[in-house]
Amino acid sequence: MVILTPTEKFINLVIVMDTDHVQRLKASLHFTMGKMCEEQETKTQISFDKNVIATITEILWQKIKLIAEDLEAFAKHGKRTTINLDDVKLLVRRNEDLKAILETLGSPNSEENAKIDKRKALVKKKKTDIPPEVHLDTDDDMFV
Amino acid sequence: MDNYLQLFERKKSSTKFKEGLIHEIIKLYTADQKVRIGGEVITAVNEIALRFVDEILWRTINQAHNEGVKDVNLDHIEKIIPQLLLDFA
Repeated sequence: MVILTPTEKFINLVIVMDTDHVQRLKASLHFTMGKMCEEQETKTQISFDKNVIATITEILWQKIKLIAEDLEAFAKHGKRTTINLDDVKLLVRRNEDLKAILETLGSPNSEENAKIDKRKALVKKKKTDIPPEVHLDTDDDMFV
Repeated sequence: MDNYLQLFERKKSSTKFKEGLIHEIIKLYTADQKVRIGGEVITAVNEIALRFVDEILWRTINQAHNEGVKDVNLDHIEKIIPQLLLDFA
């Protein structure tokens, strides 16, 4: 349990308030939202109002904030300092389809890891095998 | 009844978030500065956020379409927001 001094709490708060960094991140998010809306507009002929795009950006921002806080809480609960894929899986436990999507994310990696582990095991096995004895040809009879 | 994944492929957008954007935002809101984030976690959260946005766009477009309107308004967002937030935990 991390206990922050009042000064540290204040500094954290200031960082997260509308600083330059935050504005730039929000602007980048807003830009991506605009592009996605534009893509849907060409597909469906239905256009998005400017304020709608801004609202969607804000909704997504808050959603990511909640995700971050939840993931951190889960990791702390597991007494870890690193956020795992298991934490994310816990996050989506209520949504069947998201769970399915995350399963596909987990398994290709685990397949690769299994292959890498197999290769490593083979290499180790070859190293521990006794190397064949090397017989040097001594051509003594050449110089008799 | 379509499998959700099949349904979703149809609507999937090709634009993606900028490389480290989600990572940066998550770093902002993790209170403890020492917490580190796994590599796969970023891709996973990227997926979640992408689905979230696709879902918003799809539902608002549906709403506007059902009303016979050619522009998506804030009213449409108001109408889909409760169910959306419940669906995404």
